[in-house]
Amino acid sequence: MNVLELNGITKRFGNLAAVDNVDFDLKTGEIHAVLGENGAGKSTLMNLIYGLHQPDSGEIRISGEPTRLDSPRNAIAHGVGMVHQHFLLIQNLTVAENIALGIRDRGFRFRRDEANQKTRELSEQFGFAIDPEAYIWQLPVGLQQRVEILKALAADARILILDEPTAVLAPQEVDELFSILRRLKADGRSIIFISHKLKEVMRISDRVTVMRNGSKTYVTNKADTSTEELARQMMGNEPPVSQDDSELIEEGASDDAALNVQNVEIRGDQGEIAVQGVSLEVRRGEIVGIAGVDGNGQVELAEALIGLRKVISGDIRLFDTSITNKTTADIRGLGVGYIPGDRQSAGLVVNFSISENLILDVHHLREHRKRILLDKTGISDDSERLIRNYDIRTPSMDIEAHALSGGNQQKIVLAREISRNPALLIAVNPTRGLDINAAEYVHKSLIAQRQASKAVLLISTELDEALALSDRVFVMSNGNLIDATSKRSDMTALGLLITGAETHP
Amino acid sequence: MNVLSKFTSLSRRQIVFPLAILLSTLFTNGIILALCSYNPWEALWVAVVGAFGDGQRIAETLIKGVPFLLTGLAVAFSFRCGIWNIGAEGQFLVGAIASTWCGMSIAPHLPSVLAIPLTLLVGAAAGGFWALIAALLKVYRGVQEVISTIMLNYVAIHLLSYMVDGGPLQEAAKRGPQSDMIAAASHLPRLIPHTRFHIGLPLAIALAIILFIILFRTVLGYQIRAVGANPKAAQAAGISISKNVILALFISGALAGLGGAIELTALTRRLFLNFSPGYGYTAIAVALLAKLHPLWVILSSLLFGALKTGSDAMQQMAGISAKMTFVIQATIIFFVLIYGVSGFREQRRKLNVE
Repeated sequence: MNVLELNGITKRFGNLAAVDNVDFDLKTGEIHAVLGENGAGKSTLMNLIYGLHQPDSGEIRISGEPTRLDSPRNAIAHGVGMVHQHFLLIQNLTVAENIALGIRDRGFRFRRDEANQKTRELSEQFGFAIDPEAYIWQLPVGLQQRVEILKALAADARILILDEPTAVLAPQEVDELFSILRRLKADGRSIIFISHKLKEVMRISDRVTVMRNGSKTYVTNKADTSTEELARQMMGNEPPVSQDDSELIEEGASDDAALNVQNVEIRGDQGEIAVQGVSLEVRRGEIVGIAGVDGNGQVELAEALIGLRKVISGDIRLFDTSITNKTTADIRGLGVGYIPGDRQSAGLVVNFSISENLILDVHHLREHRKRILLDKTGISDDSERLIRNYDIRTPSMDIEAHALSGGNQQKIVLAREISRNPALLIAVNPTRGLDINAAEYVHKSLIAQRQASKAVLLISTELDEALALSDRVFVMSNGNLIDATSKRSDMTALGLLITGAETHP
Repeated sequence: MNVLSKFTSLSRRQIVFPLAILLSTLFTNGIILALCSYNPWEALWVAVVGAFGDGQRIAETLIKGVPFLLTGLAVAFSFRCGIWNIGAEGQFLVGAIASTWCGMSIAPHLPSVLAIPLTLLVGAAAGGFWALIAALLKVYRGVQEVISTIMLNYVAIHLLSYMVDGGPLQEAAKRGPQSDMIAAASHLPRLIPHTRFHIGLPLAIALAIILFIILFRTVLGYQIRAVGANPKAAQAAGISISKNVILALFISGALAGLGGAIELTALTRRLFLNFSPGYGYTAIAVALLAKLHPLWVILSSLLFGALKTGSDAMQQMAGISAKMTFVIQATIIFFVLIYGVSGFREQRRKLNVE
């Protein structure tokens, strides 16, 4: 008996089909894993089931009935519950209060005893071990996640969607979560488990659906598959077109290491060790790619290299100068360019004009100022040149950056960072959210840097991109860096590395 | 573009809307006054005459705008750096206290050419350092400046009341909570005979122009605006957030402190309890109405100055109670801000279309 059925669901954003003609079914009392890379369409699919988006075509059936889910409220009424990766809890309320908030028709008066009682009952029924009167801020992440699950259960969810539930958990907490999931399953609830960690998928799920580029590519019973098979399905069989090998040899990297990273350890925002003793070398005239799923320490590494984050141990050298824990201004002054992962929040000041954005890193240098004043004419001459050379499509350099398309915004960042002729360019997801033409432009710019004998470190969650552009490829997983150059054409092996199923090459 | 289409394209924003705001302000206040058994027509007439009736009244309106202008500039400058300095009130008071001290103990021994700039500088420096406390707490301890600057306002208010009520600055006769007059050498010159119009207004306008240049033409201003508009991007480009936060708050505090110093040396010439009727708080409205632009702060502060003289006149000439004039002022500010804030939105919409 299928509690949930999706038939031929398509959802487009502009020209992009985020979910393309997908069939999916969920049986009563099963744990069904949905597997895929970043951007494969998993989240969009789940948002369709949770009523956050409406499909452009296709049909959703719940318990056999065709259903239109036009809001989360409506989805909840149909027994769908979702535990988001980032919890939606109110820190200053207690567990019971948070749960009561999620229940409709609660009348005017808040009956605290009743809420506590109900929370306690639910919690005991599934072995959650949660104190209803504890404040959310007092709880560790693992328990907060259980409160989210309780919230869904209190709203009587029969279908539970868990979006990357293990991403935030310690191994011990993962075990506890899994035993809870098994109890829910025994109670006849159905669970959709979204993940890109193969090992966990193999442990907990009954069936697995694999998505790639918005399509469902594979569905199987767990018993009939293996981690290798899943990795292959997830990555696709075709390795992307790589750079011409002869070119690599001919103009390959010189022996000088532009960047030399020795054994660095870096903390993440939560104080956890995000990068664990990583060493890396980027030579002049080569592009080194770091692939991997978001949240495995790549961003922290990039931020440490440009001086936005302190390293706790280890050494970073640019040619022969140590740049460990130097300021961003100093590191940039030594010839490092940086294209941040999020152009809107870290690459640009979107309320500044294009020409103001083009001098963000160099406005204080002598050639852009006359004593304390900004050199207006010099800056506009420069801007005009950069807008022309980097093909930034805009009627004027005085337009604010937010008025431009994503591609043109990224060209501002590229123009600024590349025109300084940096000895080392660090690019984090430089094509995220760009259309094909804009992405190609970015790729050409990176390759041009390489041809000019500069060093480029490309950090990308898109494996295709990392493989196609890089001379050497690494995979970052769980804060460790693994050399994957020898496996660049073996998609299964790469998939295993990326999903953390295999930690050593 | 022909004249007609230019006119129609501007009409809604620039003619209809301000008129609607003006009419609804008058209408609302008329009703309030009528309900409280005042004659609204008389009140309106008195307010207009009180603010603009003759040269002396216009001069009064202009100088009433000066404290709003300096505290408004202070708030606008810090807001541009993304720092919510709610402490202009305290910085204004501390500036006045320090100037009083300077005006009484150092100025008597100096000629005017030295005494005046020194007294003003001491006030500005005191305001700057008062704000610096909040800046350092923010940078080194992560204390929200909204909280710390408000708290420092209370400290400043109580410091003032101590100073003039039993403290070292109380008048020698010890009759009331006020200081003696500061030395004549430190009095800011008045420019027009038979009025109180003083050199503080041209000085403050010059400062507004200088601040405009700093914000939009200098390296420092560029950095401050970048930190205010997107600290993450500024940091990634190598701009120091801490340095700019400290500088912006110091300058902001110094402007408010200078406001206190000018009010003291030009007008009151002595310190007393309730020295500020809340200039530093109203300054937030002044700055927001001016869209945080230093040059618009000049106009917006003069509007608030006119409100002040107009409502004073209502009290004196139409016998309307002081409390009532506060209600009327608040209503006007409220409507004017609707106008100012909706302008923000329209500006943004226009940019998105381009």
